[in-house]
Amino acid sequence: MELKKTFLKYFKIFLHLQKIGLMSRTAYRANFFIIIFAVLIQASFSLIFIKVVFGFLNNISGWNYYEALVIVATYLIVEGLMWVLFGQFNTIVKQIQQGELDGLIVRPIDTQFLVSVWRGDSEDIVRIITGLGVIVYALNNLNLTLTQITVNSFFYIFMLFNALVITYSLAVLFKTISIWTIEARAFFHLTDSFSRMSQYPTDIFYHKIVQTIATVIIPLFFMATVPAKILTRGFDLKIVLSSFIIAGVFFYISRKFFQFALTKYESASS
Amino acid sequence: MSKYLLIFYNSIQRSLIYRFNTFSLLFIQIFVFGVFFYLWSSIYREGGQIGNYSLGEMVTYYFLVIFLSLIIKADVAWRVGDEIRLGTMTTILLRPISYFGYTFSRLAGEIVFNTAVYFSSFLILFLFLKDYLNISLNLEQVSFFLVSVILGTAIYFLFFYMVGLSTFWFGFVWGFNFTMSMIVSFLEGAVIPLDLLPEFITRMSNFLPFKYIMFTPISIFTKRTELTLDLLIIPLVWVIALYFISLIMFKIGVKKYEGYGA
Amino acid sequence: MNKIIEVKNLTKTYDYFKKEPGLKNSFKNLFKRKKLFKKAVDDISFDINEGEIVGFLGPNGAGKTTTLKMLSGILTPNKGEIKVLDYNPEKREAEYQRQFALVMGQKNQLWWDLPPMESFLLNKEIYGVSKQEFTENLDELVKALKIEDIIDKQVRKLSLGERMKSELVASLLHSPKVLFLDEPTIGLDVIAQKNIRDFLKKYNQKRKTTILLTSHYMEDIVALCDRLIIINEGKIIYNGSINDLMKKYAPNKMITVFFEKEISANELKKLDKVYKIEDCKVLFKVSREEVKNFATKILSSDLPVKDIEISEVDVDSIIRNVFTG
Repeated sequence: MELKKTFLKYFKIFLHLQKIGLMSRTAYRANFFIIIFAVLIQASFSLIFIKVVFGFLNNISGWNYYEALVIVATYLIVEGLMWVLFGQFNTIVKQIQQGELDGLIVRPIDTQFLVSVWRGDSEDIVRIITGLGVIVYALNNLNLTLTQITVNSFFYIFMLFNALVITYSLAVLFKTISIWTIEARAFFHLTDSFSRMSQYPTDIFYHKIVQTIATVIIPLFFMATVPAKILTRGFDLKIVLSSFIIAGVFFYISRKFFQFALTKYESASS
Repeated sequence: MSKYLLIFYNSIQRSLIYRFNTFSLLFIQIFVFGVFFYLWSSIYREGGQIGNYSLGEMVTYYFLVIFLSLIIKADVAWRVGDEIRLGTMTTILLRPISYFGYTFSRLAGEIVFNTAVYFSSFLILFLFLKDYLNISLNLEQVSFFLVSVILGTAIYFLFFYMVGLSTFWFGFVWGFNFTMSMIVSFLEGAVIPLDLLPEFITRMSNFLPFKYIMFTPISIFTKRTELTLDLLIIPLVWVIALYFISLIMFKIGVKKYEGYGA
Repeated sequence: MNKIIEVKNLTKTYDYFKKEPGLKNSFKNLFKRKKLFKKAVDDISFDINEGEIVGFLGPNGAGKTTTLKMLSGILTPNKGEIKVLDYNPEKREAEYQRQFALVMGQKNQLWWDLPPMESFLLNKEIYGVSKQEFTENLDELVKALKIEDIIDKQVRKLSLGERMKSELVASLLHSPKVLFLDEPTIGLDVIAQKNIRDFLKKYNQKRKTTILLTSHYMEDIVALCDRLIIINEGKIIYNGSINDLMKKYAPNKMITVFFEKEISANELKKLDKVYKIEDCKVLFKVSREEVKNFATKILSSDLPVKDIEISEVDVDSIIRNVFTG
């Protein structure tokens, strides 16, 4: 009962912040549309890349054109969610730089939650829409029955959720380091460079060591390839279970690290 | 003259302080290169081929794209845009110093610092991969490459200096800068080699200065192009043209800026 | 009178690295850096009772803000104990956080591109304020600070004074029992400063909210505080009522009289208490009790007085007195 109340309260705050965020960003109309345009361009680069490469071959490590598109689309959706919901967790960096983290720490709401959902970039919703569109297009062109698509989509949603949790946890792990340094610039795009690399099938890593790194250390495997695999090739118990385990482990480690970092937070001022 | 040198040195100092920034970028970009390395390697070892590029040329292409991005990309547009938007440009205008010279010296310091740091690491990486990639170099080629890179850097700097100056008219630079960086990175060949793209894009890029930022230097390095002088003269003409346009832009824009009593 | 805030032997130390100028030193710093320590707060103890308004006065870097941050749980002390409302702030318990508010004069907690009303509504959600309490508090606060017109205007379009008032409203919507204010009037014009002081005084009288404020404006302290704690270099050098402080360390006020023309030395000797003469301007140093009489004497005399100013001896002089005193 208590848990339900707390969950509802936090959800309400999240919705409220999303609403405020959207209001705030549409306050500058020109900027809002320019960014939507820029995000669309950026998304299209990923798609153009795949299209051009597959113009010269029809298979990358066992992935055909449409399957590869699903990987890219998954990456776009996860990235889109990272921006829209969490603003790539950049709030922690900005607040530390401007010394305004204090205002969030003193509130009776879990600090990590507040920092995560404080600002979102609503424009990136077009990334999600593009991704979804590409998935529909790709699924259309793959030989899957309607039943298969339905069943696979069900598990895909969970895999997508885990991918988001992992990407989010990576962002927390890396960007929380900004508590210890004065430099902010390096952090803003730190983790989206990693995410960007998830848009290629991880089967390309033909050395076992690299495969392992891409599975458990920087889990590119679970960030896009796995959801795509489940969607296009069907359920795989081992992979699905690992996905939950990796997501759980990363979330736990990142949370502990964040809480540790907060205790070390020294806001410099007189 | 010495005041610009001082700004240059200060800029290097500043870069030393913000070294976390520099080294974390290095670490990430090596990671990024690693992924591309595996992408092309696994394609080629499975018998595929991208256009008329050999594996060595493909991997070297992305190797250089990443390396050059680290060196060339300085936040010109951002800095200039913020100085206009926040009004801090005024303090510079009041001093006996040219704004262009000031911006250039500041960024030159960063570029030199970045080059020193990144060059060493990438050199080591390069020596490791040289044989695997079948790269051979001779003096003429390398010198051409260096001059080409310098010209490309100048074009990049000037173009984004002008993007920053557009703040005189737009009020803020972020969205425009972001869009322009995207478009330029595509047209300079950083996403895909220009000669692998449809013909209309390749033809369009011949009329724009961007291909000389990355595509041309890289093609020189990988010997995909003959070492003809026009490869250096055309970008040089662009540099001069962009410089003069930026001067005019500044002159007109500054009047507007001062008109607001900023 | 129950103690709301108890601080015992509080100490906070910062460490930092020495940075010398020059390119060579920057290179040296890569390999060897000297770590230095600064005691921001050095073994301080004090208590604050419910409903008191206490001022923390001191120069920059004295340790005021650091103390405030430890009381709100932002920083953890190196040594000592703190108890606020029977909570240990270090634990950052939600129950405690719902009962206090922190307003920092130089930091903006309102959303820049939106009207203050949106930030108010957000705080309502965050602090779990009931609709009824929210509406009541909002009405009362907005009326008291006279900002009815601006709560629907974008924050970035407001003046500094309007912004500060809005920040205050935002922080009081959840009826906190304790209010921490860090330099609340800094940078504001005289009228805004007065409005805010008047408001805080009335609010405290009505609600019995315990207020702890830091400032380096003497006027803030004199207008608002029952009690004053002076901090310098991390140590408390005075903790007591304002009146006592004034009597002890600032027994005099400065009266500046602007005359129409220069007054002869003879005339001035008759007045006594002359401190400094600058052409037509004469400064008198007069003890507090005698100010009224002295001013009356000057104004009712037939001296050609153009203007008269009575000012407080400035903070730094008082503090200097407190040190040497």
